[in-house]
Amino acid sequence: MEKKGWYSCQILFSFFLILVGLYVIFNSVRYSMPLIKAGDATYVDAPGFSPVVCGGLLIILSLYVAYGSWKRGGTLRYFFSAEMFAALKSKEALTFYKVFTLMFLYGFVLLPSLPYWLSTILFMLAFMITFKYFTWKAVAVSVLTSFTLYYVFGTLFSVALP
Amino acid sequence: MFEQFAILGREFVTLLSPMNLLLQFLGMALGVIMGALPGLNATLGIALLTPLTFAVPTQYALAVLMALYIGVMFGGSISAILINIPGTGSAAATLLDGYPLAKKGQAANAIMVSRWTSAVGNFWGLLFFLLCAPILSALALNFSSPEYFWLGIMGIAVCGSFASPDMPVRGWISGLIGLLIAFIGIEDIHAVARFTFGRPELFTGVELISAMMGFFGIPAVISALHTRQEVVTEQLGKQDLPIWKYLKDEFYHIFRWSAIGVWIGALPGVGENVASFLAYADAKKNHPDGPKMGTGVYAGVAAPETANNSAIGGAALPMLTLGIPGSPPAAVLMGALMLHGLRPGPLLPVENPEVIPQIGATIFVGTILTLIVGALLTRPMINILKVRPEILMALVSVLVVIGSYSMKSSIFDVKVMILFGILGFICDKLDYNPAPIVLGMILGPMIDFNLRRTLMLNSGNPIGFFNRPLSLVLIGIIVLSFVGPIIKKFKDPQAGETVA
Amino acid sequence: MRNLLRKNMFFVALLIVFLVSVLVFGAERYPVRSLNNIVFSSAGGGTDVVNRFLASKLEPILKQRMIVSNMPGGLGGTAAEYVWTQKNDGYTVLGCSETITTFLVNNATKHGSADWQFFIASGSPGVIAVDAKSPYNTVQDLIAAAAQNPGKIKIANSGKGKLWHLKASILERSANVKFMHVPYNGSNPAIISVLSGETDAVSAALGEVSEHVRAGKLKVLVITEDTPVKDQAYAKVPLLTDLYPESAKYFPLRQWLGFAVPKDTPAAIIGILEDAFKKVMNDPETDKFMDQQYMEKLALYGQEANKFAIGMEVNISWISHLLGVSTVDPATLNMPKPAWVE
Repeated sequence: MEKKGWYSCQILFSFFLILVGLYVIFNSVRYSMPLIKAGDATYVDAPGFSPVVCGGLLIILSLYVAYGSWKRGGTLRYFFSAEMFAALKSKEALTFYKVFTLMFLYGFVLLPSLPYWLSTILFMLAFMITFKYFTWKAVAVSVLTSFTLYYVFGTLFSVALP
Repeated sequence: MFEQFAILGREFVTLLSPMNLLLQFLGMALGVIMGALPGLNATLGIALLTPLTFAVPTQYALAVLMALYIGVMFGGSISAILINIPGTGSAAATLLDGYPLAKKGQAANAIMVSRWTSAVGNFWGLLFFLLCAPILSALALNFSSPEYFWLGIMGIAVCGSFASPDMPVRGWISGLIGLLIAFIGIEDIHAVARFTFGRPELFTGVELISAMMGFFGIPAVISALHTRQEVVTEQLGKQDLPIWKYLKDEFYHIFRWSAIGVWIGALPGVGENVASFLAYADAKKNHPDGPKMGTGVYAGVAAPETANNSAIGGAALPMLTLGIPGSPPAAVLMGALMLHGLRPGPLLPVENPEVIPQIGATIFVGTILTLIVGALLTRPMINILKVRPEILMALVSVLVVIGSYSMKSSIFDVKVMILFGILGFICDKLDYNPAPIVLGMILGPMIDFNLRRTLMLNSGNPIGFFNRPLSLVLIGIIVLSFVGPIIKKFKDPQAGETVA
Repeated sequence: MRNLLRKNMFFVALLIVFLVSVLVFGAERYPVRSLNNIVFSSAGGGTDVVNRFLASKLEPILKQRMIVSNMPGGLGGTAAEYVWTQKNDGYTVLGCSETITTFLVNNATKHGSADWQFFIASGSPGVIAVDAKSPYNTVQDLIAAAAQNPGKIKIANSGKGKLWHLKASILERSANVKFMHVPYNGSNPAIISVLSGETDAVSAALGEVSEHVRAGKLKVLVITEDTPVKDQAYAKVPLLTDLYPESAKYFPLRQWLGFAVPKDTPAAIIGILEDAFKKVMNDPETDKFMDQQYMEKLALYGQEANKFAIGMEVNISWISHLLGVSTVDPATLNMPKPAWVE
């Protein structure tokens, strides 16, 4: 893989981390000040003290990484280069989209609305169909797995399954 | 000192109960299988098994999880030797000589060497663990708030520097990300809810084990699926190496590799993967077979396998006595111990004096079981390795979901787990090492609480951090870990570009 | 076809047998499998010790194992939330202490005392102790030092807003001085901080410091209670209410240890647990254990236990609010104002 696109991704991630750092500092100040004003806390033992320090360090170090990546040729214009488009359509990227779509479906849609055993069978079947492996063995494994887990967690460990 | 061994003997006898042996046997077998299957590693394995151990007494939970950890370290070598794919990162060095050996028809011998050197490595690691644990525990009892703070910082600094040697800054950023995640939830001093986005589920913080399942599990699923390849297993061949003679002849070198493993294992967050590569490099330099390494010599299998097993004892030592895990699997193990209400760290020998000898005895039983389980599983493993990755990864996905759910019976944790999966994938792609993140998440509360408590005790004066000899020692180590990589870069400016 | 039907009949029959057995054994008999006791603080603390003892005594009566595990964190709210989300069938109990009465006012969970059915076994009196080598020999020395250096005398406690912090705050308020309250994660680290010289004194339970007192490492300055301790060894140590009679209005405010099940657990199951608990409380070995641990037997269950807990919840919530350590105003929680609140 050509490295320039990778370095521009580094810059993007660094910017994201800087935003996280700013958010952390902003929030820390927001819920530390009332305590300090009320006299319940001082500046050094307020709940926001450690987060502010960490957020500050995160911003500084991220700036350093962004600068280093920029010097190595990662500039924002590589976001629209052929290299990036190729990376977004690579086999790995496709696997990533598929896995996360399935996981989101499972965790955010199926589990909250269906009983555990049913959603698990559906998820496993969908998983194996997506990755082009659909045989009777796959069905058997799905059914077996979901009922085994249902029994082990639901009955043996008395977890209240959905 | 000797009474330590007497307690160990007693714990060892209690470990011989059929229930315990059965559990350790199962844990070990599971570990060997997980280790051999590409995509499953020790960190993920321990995280997956933790919810299952939640309902059983702590002693059994310890036995299963430790056995699994030991099993994975050996299991990785089987797939490295047979199919030229490392089952875990810790076996990545093993395949360099293991696979050529299998091609020569000596796979069975190579696996036998791996099995025995794993056991011997384990044993040296255990010995080191038992000798040093009382000393470190005694030292750690003198710790007060500033030392705890520096200890936490040291863990993250050393781990960050080692985890990404080409660009330690990224390692340190990982550590900071972990710390910030750890700050989520109700904090210890004023009981204020921090960064909870108004969600009451986050009041108790991000569930470590759930987060780890997403963080290690989902990237593993993705990489196993897109690097799918036809698996060709080599023939096992005859098992005819006189193993006792081999171990006797190589005694010095095996000891040497064990020492490397123990030392690297004991460094915070620097685990088996680094240890096995360093031992391999050492073998190349100092072993008589060194020049022939890479063409299939037993030393090339023995060195990494010795080191990655001895690293277990090394990693468990700081985890239990100081509360600083020595490797990512040890970090998850520490999370599991905390779920069982133990507090790994200087207070552990005071609050639960039985735990350290118990873990020692578990490692000892595990050493013996490696030999038995390893021998039993070598042949069936050829078939197990043929399991389709689609089935396996569907299983892993289901397991990480139910595992994270069962921690608190909450769908919310499943959602958190999936989000951590995305973060884990991004960090993986951008070379942000996960080890410091895990360490940061574990050490965050300790660093935060002790930082602010020390300042509070000294009315805001930072002098409290520098006026005790123990603090100064820890500060020295931290400075070294920061300056070390910079000096190295200064000496060898190319290093940053070449090291992967 | 017939063959198939017969096969199916077999499965249907099996299913019916299974369902019936679940209904019969699940509903009529309790317990049919092992119980889990989730202790909301770490191992080795008072709550943990008492629950492990209770479990060992309940096991032969219930004829099932009671597995004790610890789930500390979130001021104890983590474990409470966990027990609450399990099936409320009496198989998962929460090992808890009086800290559960501070949950609402500290916003640890939304489940206050009214949501639980308590089984209260015992409690240990509170003390303030200092290092044996400390210059403070009486509580008056400590107060005098605090009066000279306001905010400089460091008193360790097991966590902000918890009982021991409140007890030290009551002393502070009654003596009209200012301490520095230093929170730790539990009583054990707090006691060790006194031994290592990091703090000057610790507010904790007598049961938790007694071992160090016997070993000559700590000395007890004051008993932060309104009733004397049974043990004659502490007969000379002053009571807080003797020193400051006006502090009596804050009491009853005491430690208690035991376990709880969610209130919506079937009444029959609660009844079985109550019978077993009663038997344990009448066991002479229980008295022996409590003496060793410097605890007093409370043996409260049923209505009585809940009245006690809810009464204390009101009291402790208003005290924390008054002392400025709480997060939530108890008035917003529909808690009646006690008479002594100005």
